[in-house]
Amino acid sequence: MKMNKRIGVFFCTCQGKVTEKVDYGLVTSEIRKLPQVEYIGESSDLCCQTERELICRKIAEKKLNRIVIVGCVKPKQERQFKELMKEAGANPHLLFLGDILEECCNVHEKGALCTFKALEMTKMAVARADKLEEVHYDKIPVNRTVLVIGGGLAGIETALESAARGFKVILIEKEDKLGGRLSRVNTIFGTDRIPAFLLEDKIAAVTLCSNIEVWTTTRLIDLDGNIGDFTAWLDTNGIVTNINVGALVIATGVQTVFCPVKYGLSISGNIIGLMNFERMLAEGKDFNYKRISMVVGKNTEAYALPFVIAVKNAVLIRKKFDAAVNLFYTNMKVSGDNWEKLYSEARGLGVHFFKFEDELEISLSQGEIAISYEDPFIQGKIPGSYKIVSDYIVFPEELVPAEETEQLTSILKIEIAPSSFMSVDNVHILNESTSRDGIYLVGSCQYPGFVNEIEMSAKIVAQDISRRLNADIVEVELTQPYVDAAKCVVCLTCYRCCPHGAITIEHGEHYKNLYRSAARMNPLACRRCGICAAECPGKAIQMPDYTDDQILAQLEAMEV
Amino acid sequence: MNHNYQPKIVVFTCENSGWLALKHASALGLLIPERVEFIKLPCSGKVDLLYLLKALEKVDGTLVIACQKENCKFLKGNLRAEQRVNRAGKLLKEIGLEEERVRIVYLAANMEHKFAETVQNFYDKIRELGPNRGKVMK
Repeated sequence: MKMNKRIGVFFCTCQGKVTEKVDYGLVTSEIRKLPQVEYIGESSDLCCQTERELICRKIAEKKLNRIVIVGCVKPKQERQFKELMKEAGANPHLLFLGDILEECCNVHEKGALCTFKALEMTKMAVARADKLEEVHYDKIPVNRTVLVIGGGLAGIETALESAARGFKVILIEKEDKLGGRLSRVNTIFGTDRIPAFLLEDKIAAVTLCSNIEVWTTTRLIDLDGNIGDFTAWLDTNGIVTNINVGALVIATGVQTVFCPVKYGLSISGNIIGLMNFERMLAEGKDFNYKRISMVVGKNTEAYALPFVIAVKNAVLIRKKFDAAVNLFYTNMKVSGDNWEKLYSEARGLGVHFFKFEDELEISLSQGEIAISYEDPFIQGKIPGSYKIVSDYIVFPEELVPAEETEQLTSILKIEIAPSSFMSVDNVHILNESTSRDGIYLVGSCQYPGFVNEIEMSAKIVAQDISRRLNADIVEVELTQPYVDAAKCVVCLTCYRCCPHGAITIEHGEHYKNLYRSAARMNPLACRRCGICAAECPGKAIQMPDYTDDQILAQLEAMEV
Repeated sequence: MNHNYQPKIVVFTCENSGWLALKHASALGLLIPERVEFIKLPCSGKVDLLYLLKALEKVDGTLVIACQKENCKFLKGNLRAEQRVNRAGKLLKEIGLEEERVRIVYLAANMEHKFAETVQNFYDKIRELGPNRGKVMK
């Protein structure tokens, strides 16, 4: 049934702030002439409770089905008025707010033009309100299983956290056992726990937990669908199985590449990578009274991890083996919790810190390493450089994304950041989210992280998954763009341009076009940007609240 | 040229940048020419070629305010808006109008002074160009 449009326009003077510059008398007398306008109300403060009750009453009394509120629009007010519409039993999307105060009064000087603009804005608002459509809620069944890719600390931690929130978890790992890189680490900065024991405990917890399934030697080979309803194809030793999951967590981590060639050195027994050094310490190698040089610089300084590990180990070997430690650095990045303290401790223990600028001359002779060093601060004042001789030299390895990261991102349809790690969508909203809803990054797959950071991310992600998939059936407002199947020619333009991979092509006899198929925007995955609606060559896609009709009507109502 | 000539402009603003910049400008009381209309969109990527051309049937210039490049909330919305604005410019040129009547500007939400300045500059520019010869008279 098509209902007659009865528009109610409510003016708010915002306690006289609007009427200071705009003559509402003139505006209302003009608006009254519009045929669709059924009721005009004016008030000094629409935000107050009595006025809200009045609006409710008027909606019922005059059978208003479109409401225009003219005054100021702050997000808070917008929410309040939407609530009000619900209270009055109307659809909150049948409301249009014209921001006279901020768009007109505050930015213009008092005068006839200002009133004229207010009138015009009200007319445009009425024209737009005339075309407003209702938006309803829908209930969508979702799958409450989480697929965690990567069995390192990040993966294990997320699996445990998700399982604790009542989700079924499938944890896949490409190696034949869980553990990841943490098993090769000697100590964790910030805790006294030994990594091997920590991991053992976690792995035991995973195996004990009935909600977690562990699939080793398994990798993800394909993915389809959207949040709440992903289909993942998994390859276990050549056997392909497909499973349905609700959300994915990527915890693939980093890999290290050791290249002493950068410093003109070849691989030799006393040239050690930082992670390797860490492992040697864990295995109990003796460094008693040795002279050890560490060099942090040259492309290894993009992340804070190498600095902290280097300083941590410098402190450790200084204490344990009484070794002479020289730490060469270009920049010292100690900007985290307690890192500065660690740095001062190292200084206090007698670790020698040397700042260098670009080049260090390192030469290897008879099992000894000689570094010729020139202090940049006293350069030129003291002639020549001096030599530092040591038994071992330690470089941090390059930190690069884990193998197959590129393949994985193309399967997942997510972005790669300039650092070649996986890209986080918006650091201001959620540091772990990707451009696709339901796919999260935990741990070192976005950048090399620390244990405490990983533990925190795992909690955040588990929490966000339980927020999104809070029940077997979730309720969602259908404000996502919709497709007119009769106009859709399945050109895939929207499918390709959607930045969130939220569009799928659906097939069925009920689509009344030549192809019996049409694009569909997933209401859970869509983030309502409207790019598809604007890009659609056939104008088959319309976005609720911003349909072409509405905006063109608004333009049409404008005075020349 | 008529010195009293006042052009009319439509500004399509992204609600994550231009719209907020407008709110901040209004909070500071910065002045914007009166004959400028603002239309809010969820992302500058929602700017349709149709909106730009339909608007130009009635007004003298259209301005699109998008987020800074590589800073779009929806990854590439502003780049898509840019392409559409370029396309609109080309179409205008083809029918013998000035391309400058449609323009895209990249702003952040906290650049309210730049916002007011940009709108004013665009207004002045359109004023120099004179009335839009492509207006549809009804």
